[in-house]
Amino acid sequence: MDKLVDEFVVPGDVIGKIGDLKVRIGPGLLQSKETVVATKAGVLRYSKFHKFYWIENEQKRYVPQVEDMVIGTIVEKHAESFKVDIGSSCNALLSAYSFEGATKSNKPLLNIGNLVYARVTVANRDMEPEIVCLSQKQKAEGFGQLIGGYMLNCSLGLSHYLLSEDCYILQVLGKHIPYEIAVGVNGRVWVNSGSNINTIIISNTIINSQFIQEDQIEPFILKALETAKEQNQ
Amino acid sequence: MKEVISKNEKDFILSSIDKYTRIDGRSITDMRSIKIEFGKSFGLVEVQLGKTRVYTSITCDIVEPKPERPNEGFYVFNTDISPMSSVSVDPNRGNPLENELGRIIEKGLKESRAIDTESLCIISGSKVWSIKISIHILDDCGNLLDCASISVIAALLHFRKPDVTVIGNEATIHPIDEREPVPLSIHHTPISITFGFFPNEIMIVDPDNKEESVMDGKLSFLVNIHKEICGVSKGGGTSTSVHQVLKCSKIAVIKAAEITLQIKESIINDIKTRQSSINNNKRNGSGFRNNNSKNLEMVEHNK
Repeated sequence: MDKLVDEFVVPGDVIGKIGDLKVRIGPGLLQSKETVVATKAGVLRYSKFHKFYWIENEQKRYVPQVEDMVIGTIVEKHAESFKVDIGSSCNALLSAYSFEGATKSNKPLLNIGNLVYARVTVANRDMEPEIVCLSQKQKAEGFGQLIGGYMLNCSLGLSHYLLSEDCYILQVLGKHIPYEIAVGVNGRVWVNSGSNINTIIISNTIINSQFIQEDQIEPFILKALETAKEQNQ
Repeated sequence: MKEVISKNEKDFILSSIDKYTRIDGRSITDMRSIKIEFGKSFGLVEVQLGKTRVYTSITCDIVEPKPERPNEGFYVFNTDISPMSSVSVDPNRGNPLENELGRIIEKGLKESRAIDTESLCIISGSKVWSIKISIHILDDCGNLLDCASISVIAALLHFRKPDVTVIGNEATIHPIDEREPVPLSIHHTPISITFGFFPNEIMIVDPDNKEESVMDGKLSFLVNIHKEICGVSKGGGTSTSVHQVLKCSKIAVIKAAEITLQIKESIINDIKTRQSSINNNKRNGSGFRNNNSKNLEMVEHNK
């Protein structure tokens, strides 16, 4: 199964035999009896840490997958739950008790339009997805409401790239601008920094990074910072 | 399904615009980049305004005129918003935007007499041209009206109808490959420029879809290259002051002139490339495509 990792595959390609490998397969892959077959065109990726295979491409439509970290917008508020738009075909369910330290008398104060960073726990094609704002250890660990900042939309491939360990853009950005970021694999990226202009520069760099060479990214950021400075004066 | 915008985005956009900055790095009077591409035959144009994408196709037909107006042809506008263009489009229900869009452009063209129906007459009372303009919205990323208006104007200027000779009561239509087709008579080109209004009397040119969902109201000017305002459209939203409208109109005049020049330039370039390819074809004795098909045939024989 390893020989196709980071290679381009098309629907119908046999990725490998399952045998007694203990791995999980994600978006774009399908188990058919003993073999794993690709169902969409893209690049096969593998995460050693999660023992997880998936196919990555530049699609925009998000299909929920268990253990995905996503950013959602609250669209409905009920007595004990919220409906959250995570970009999938159906709104996700977020229980009011799935926050750290939440009890019947101590529920999170969330309103329609707020952003939350959450983890998908139920993803079934016949059911609405369910998300929680808790890590596997039942702690907040970064999940929960995102306050302030700006959310930008990008392709799923770019959001996966931003989450990879050797992501060049985020490192370069960090050299010049201090910022906070939350990346959802549903193609949504939340950024926050000291000023609006810096946030705009960060979001534009992320969006445009797909279309510029890696060594051009740093000059791009510096130029944007310079023009922002000139405008301020 | 309605597209939802989070409170975070809304607050951010509003506070940025309050400081005269926009989320995509433009200044408040900048338009997104315009890209005009022409199809294989005349009158097929795809225009991109940023990520908004509109495709316009023009076809012509010979029909009988209305008996009360025997020497007037027809311009028929048809708008279609693809369900793929945006999540908010519901294919089961009619889209009110569909009618609005086509009608604003049609009104701007007809009421400013940019296009006249009398020039479409072939034989009074029996044969006139009917020009059908189909506007297809392929991708909606904000400011559909401006993008659609640019694509309609570009398509109208690019379109050529077959030449006709009339002798007495007999009309002969010459096919395009027999005689050079003739352009439509377009007297001037009104182009729409849209402004979005925000609190504190701030207005922005060419709002994108996120700005559109936050703004208080919008105002569209239809302006031609002669600095004449051919139409104004304002559908609801906040009230605007007189000096704000005047300021908008001044910006619109400048922007419209720039866009008109760009459209004309791209059409001239396209016509040039077309002519040079025709000349090449004549020299070779066969067109590029014929060559290709011959090769294909040979490949098949070899098999």
